[in-house]
Order: sequence, then structure tokens, then C-alpha cells
Amino acid sequence: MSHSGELLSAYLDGELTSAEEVDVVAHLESCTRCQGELGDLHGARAMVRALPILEVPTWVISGAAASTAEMQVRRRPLAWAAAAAAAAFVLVIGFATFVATPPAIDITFSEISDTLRLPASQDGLPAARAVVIARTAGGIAE
Amino acid sequence: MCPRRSMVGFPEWMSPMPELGLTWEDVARTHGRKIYNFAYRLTGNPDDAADLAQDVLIRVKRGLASYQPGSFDGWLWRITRNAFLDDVRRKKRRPTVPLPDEVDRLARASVPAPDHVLAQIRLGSDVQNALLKLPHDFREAVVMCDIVGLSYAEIAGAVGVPVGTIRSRIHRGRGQLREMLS
Ligand SMILES: [Zn+2]
Repeated sequence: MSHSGELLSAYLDGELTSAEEVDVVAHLESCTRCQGELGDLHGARAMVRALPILEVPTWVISGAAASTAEMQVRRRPLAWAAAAAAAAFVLVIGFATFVATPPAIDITFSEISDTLRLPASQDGLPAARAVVIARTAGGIAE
Repeated sequence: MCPRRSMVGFPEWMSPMPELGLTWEDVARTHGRKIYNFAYRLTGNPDDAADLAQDVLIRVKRGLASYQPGSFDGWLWRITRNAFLDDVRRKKRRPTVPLPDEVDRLARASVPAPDHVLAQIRLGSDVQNALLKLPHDFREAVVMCDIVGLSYAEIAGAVGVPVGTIRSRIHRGRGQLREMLS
């Protein structure tokens, strides 16, 4: 009897044909080795999925919107360094759980700044707001 | 799928692309965050991720004029990965370890972060560091699957390889992550 191997990841992702899925499920019932591997793969997937989703800095989109086809406009506001630090802090907040759908956490930059006593945004841009958006099992929530 | 909502601050000339039913600002709004997070997890560096996301959005703006109806996700993610590979070749840089002094800096902060927050930083950093140690092809497939949320077929279309190859890369990537993180 051959083990399920890479079919196990595809099984987790719902990417098997129905015939393949029947085979994998039947095999899993009697194979402790594949059961263990499935658990390991599920754990690895959960850790990646639990990484927080970071909000794109607003200057990225406004700069692209302002650019012409020939010229890229890149503008990093002074607050960006502080925003990056805040975003790094926010990195953690969504990591509270390995389950597929953690609760949404919404933290404003000023809250983080206040907590950490980071310097305030120097040009008053609200752009530094960093938000963690809860992941859904299917990917980044729209 | 995504509700249509106009975004202030974008000039009229950019829109619309009737063959897509999408304007550039729709794409930026609905996909900008995904592109940024894809780039962040591939590079581990917020500055590089931001530059790359902007590069992609500019390429999308140029490309929408000549976009042929087809798989929009395949088209978008082909542009995104090509931009990433161009960027890597241009800078000849290796992915960097994310925010190496963040834990120490937070530990020194005048209002200390709670222990559980610091523990979560370390866990998140561990996962990001493990991702950066994967071979590029594995990391790309895993991130497209588990961060962006693309199907295997969509990833295969973007990368230009058979679906079976993507299945194998995701599986082996997860196996290596598990080894590194256990
Ligand atoms: Zn087995």
C-alpha cells in the first residue's frame, strides 16, 4: 500500500478530484503515518495562514495613481519609518491563534503610538494607520 | 464579488476598463493589499514590499489598456511575480530577515509590551524567517496559496507550470516549514 504523500496537502486544500479524495480518506483510516503527516501539514499551513495581513501603505497606491506610464512616483512620507515600526508591532497581534479564522483586530496607528510612545506622525498624515485584518480560510478578506 | 465603490482622489482618465468591468482604482483597492502582503512575505522587508507593490500597480495601469479578456487573476499574478523576479535581478539581493531588532526594541519600550505580545512577535518572526529559508519556488507557491488565497490552477497559470508541479511545491514547502518550526 503506497502512502498518500503530496496528495495530503491537496486534500487539505480541497484540491483533489473526488476519486482521489475517496482514496485518500480510505487510506487515512488505516495509516497512522499519513495521519501524522496530515497533522504536521495542517499545522504548517495554519502557521502561515495565521500571519497577520498588513494594510498597504497609502502612499503606495497614491503614488501609483499619480504616476504616468513613463515615470514612477515614489514618495515615502516621513511617518513611514514610524509606520513600519508600528506595522512590525502589529505583526504580532493577529498571531494570537493558529485556527483558521481568528477574530478581527483593528488597531489604529495612534493607539500603537500611544502604547509604545512612538513619535507621532510628523506631517499629520493618517496614512500611518496600521490595521490587522482577520484572515479567512479562503485568503485575504476583501 | 467585490462591491463597486468609487474611490476619491483618482482622476477620471484612469477609468473605466469596460471589457473588465473594472477600473484601475478597483484593482488597486481590491488587490493592492494582496500584492503588498505577497511581496512582504516573499521579501520579509516592508520597504521592498511597498516599492514592489507600487511597481506592480503601475504595470497594471499600463497593461490594462492592452489586457485581453481571460483569467484576470492569472494575468495579475503573472505581472506580480515577474515584477518580483525583475526586482530581485535588479537589486541582486537576497531576501532579508524581517525587522531583526524589533523584539529587543519593544522590550526596551518605555511602556513594555506584554509578554504574550512579545511571544507572538517571536512566533510570527519565526514563521517569516522559515518562509525566507524555503527555496524560492516553494515559498512563492506557499505564499500564493496560503497568504493570497489562490487556487492551485490559478497559481499554475501565474507561474506557468503544470498544476501538479504547484501541488508538489506546496506540499514540499509545507513539509520543510514544519521541519524548521518544530
Ligand atoms: Zn500512509
